[in-house]
Amino acid sequence: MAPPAWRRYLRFWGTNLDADLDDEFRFHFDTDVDDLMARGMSPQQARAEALRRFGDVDQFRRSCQSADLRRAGRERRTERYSMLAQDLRYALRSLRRQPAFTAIAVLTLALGIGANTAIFSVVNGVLLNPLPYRAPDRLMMLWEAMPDGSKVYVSYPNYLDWKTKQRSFEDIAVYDAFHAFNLTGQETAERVAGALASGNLFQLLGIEPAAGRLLAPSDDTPAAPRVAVLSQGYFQSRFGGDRAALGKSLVLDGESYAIVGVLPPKAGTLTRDVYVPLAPLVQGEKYARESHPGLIGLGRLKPAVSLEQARGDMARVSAELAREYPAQNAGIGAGGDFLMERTVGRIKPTLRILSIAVGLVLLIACVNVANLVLSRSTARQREFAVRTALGAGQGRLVRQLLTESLVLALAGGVAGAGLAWAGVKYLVSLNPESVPRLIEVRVDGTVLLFALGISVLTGLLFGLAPALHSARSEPVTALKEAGRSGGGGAARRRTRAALTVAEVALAVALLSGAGLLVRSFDKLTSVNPGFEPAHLLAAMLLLPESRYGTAEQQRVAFDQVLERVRAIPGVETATIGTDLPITTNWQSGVTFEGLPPFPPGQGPLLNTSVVDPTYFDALRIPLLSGRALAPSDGAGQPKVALISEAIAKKYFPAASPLGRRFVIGSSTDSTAVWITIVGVVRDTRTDGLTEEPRGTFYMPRTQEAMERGWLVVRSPMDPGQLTTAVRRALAEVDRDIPLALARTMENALDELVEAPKFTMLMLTIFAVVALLLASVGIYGVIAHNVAQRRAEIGVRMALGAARSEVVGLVLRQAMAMALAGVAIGVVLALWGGKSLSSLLYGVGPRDPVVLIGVGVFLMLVSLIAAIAPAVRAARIDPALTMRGDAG
Amino acid sequence: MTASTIDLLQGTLDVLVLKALSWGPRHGHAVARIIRDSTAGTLLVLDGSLYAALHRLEERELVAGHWGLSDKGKRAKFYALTPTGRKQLRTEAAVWERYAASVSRLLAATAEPARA
Repeated sequence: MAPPAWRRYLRFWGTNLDADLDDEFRFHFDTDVDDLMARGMSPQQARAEALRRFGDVDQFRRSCQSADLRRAGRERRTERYSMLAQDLRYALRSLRRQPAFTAIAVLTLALGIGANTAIFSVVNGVLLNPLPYRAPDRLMMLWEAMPDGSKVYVSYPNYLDWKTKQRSFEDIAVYDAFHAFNLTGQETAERVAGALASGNLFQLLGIEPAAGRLLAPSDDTPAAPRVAVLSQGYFQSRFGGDRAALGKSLVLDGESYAIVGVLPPKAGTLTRDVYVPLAPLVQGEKYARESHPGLIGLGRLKPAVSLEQARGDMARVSAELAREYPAQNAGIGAGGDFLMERTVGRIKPTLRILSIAVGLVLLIACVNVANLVLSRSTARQREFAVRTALGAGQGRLVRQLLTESLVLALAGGVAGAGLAWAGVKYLVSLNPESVPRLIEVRVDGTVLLFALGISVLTGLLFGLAPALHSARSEPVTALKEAGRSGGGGAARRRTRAALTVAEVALAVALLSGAGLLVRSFDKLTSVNPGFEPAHLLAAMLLLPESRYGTAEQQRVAFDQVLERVRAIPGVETATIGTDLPITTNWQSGVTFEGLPPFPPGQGPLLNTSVVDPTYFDALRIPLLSGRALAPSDGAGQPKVALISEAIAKKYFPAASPLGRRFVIGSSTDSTAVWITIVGVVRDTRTDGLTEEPRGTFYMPRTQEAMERGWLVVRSPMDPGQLTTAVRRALAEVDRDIPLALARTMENALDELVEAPKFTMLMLTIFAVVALLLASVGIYGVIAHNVAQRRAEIGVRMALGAARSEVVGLVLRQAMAMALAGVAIGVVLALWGGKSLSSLLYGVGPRDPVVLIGVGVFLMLVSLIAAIAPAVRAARIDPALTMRGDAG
Repeated sequence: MTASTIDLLQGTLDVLVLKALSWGPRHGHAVARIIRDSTAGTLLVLDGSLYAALHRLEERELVAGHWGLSDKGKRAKFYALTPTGRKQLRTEAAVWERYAASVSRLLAATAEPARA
């Protein structure tokens, strides 16, 4: 039985393995039977003998088939690889042939991909990576709340009651992450960033020690031996990572603490250097029930308890406590949110804006490279036409061009990852306080995977359109057109113009965003802080409690310090106060004489500050009425205070506050002392530059206890240079008093605006990159168009067009593209501006100054980018171009 | 197994097929004839297992198959040794000869060999 004749034609469409096998076996049988019959067997005998000799046909067919399948699979793979290798070789060769094009394209892509990778690594490290704790999504941060909803820290006695009354958490812990230890027992005293933690804090977080052990509940009793846990960073910097540190002790605030363990390098929100148990330090007014010292609450939700249920439970507990302790807890509520949200929530808007910005930069980069590839493919049309004419399929051509694009994109990706690595390293070294968890940010596997992903996506994005464009062109037309240099195709020119318009539009949108932030930042830094910050040095002084226990001892110590510091050559004046004019440290409820008392828990919390009488002169805070504090306001004299203007206006709107009296807290307290208001001073921005100050009471340090304070030194010289001299003066008084946080007041102000500055700088950098790319894009397209239209321009000039007309022609074309881009970009900016509003201060998201300014600026930049090609067009020699193919 | 025929191990069959192709491209039936004739029926080789060997060798790229016409003008699949196949044949033949020589030396010996 012969195989059907038609089947062999199937072979044109590829091999048919099974049919071939059948043919092969059939040939074998036919030949064998013929042989055997030739030796005299009957046809039946011959057939039976042939079958016997062959064996089990089905079994052998199966084993042949599986071998064939494996072979075919491997051949297909080899073919694919060799085609890919060919495409790659070809792509590399053609990119090498045009090094300028390749370099510009790779650089452009590297900027786009690098910016995206860098921002993604921040997003990844800060927002996406979970906190390094056990089941971090069950952790909540807890606080107490005033009747107006403002958050306050947790009162220690309330915390102890919460622990027994609450039902939503497996456990709750508190810690004070703002404590500054005075480390002594060494050459000079030193300030150490400390935290006082309840003993269950680390167990609750589920964090394991890197060495030794962490704090346990048994450490957290008043009588327990004093122990301390170090952060990994402090362990490394102070002890060089030597485990011998375990068992050594540190003298903190005059007490000896045994070092028992070290935190792991990844400790998430635990950023302090030394952790000690809280309970042994709980004493005095600070930990009374009505006090809300810097204690942060943490809770681990029970399984299946929701955030809302936990909040409800906390509200119930608060209400119960308010009933039990109405004097201290009336109106005090409680609140909480997921720890992750509290830790990184405030940076989210910034990171969102920056992600959008780098996305736009990448889009612009794509458009630029697509434009480059398009103009290059115009020049390569002859090559494609020849290849098509020689039989290369369209699919093959598209694949070839896409391979080139992907090679470009991957090269850009590698360079971009390098840029991102350097950028992230730099960013982390800056370590702006405004970005939480920045220390955990790094270029890791996830980030590299992201870079690879966007590289491939980018390659497809900028490569697909030009590839399809080129492959679609008719070889005959293309060959004809490519013969003349005038060709290029109207469609292609339109595509390029549209891409350029898009590019300008994106740049306008990005620049508008940056412009808004710049203007907002300008408004922010020109806020009058209420004092003169120039020429001031500020530093924190902390008196060791062991030796300066009484108010008198503290007063004498500070007197001596001020005396020595004022004697330093170049020092104009020196003063001291519990707060800088830009910070607040303590707020209190008050009762004014003659005004009805505020209902319990409903009164305002006002700043209370203890200052040296020279404070206002030194900081140049003007006295508005009454008298200044004087040295004569001594300890035995009637207590006096100054108030700031905000208090005067709010509580004494009609009459003068001078001579009126108030008490801190409630007038019915047995310890209440009446204080007389003797003067009003101007407000300073104590509650943040953008906040209206709530108002401050200034009490003289001659009448109040003061164990720590900000030393402020005014000098006509650069105040930063005084630090060493001040430190020396301090050591002459007592070498166990550390000078901490020394910086100029201007630096301290800068720190306040660090977060908006960070956002503004980053966005401005990306906007400038976008502007550069867009102007390069405009230049490239105009220059290319001029080159393409040489012949046409030559004809015009031969027909009498003046050079100025030619220049006008080119510039008009550029301006038309720019104008369209600016118009679209302004619409984009108007539409997208509101996403910035949470980051703006003193400027609206649709600020006309910014929008008009950016629009005009981009028109100018486009004009400049088009001037060189226009001049080149005007220099075209009509005689040369008319002669034919102008070289 | 009868005394006059020997069942072949797979590797041995592969060497025989390679050897059969060493004189030039052959189709499967010709390979079968060469093996049957040269071993005078001592070896029991099913024709089917021969094809399985050919396809296996083709997969390993020791032989290459292509379609052609037989001497009677019929379409047949011919197999030829690839350079790798030729090298493989040389290696395996050498191994086989050493093996056979050792076996026959011992079998032909009349006295126990002296200890080395």
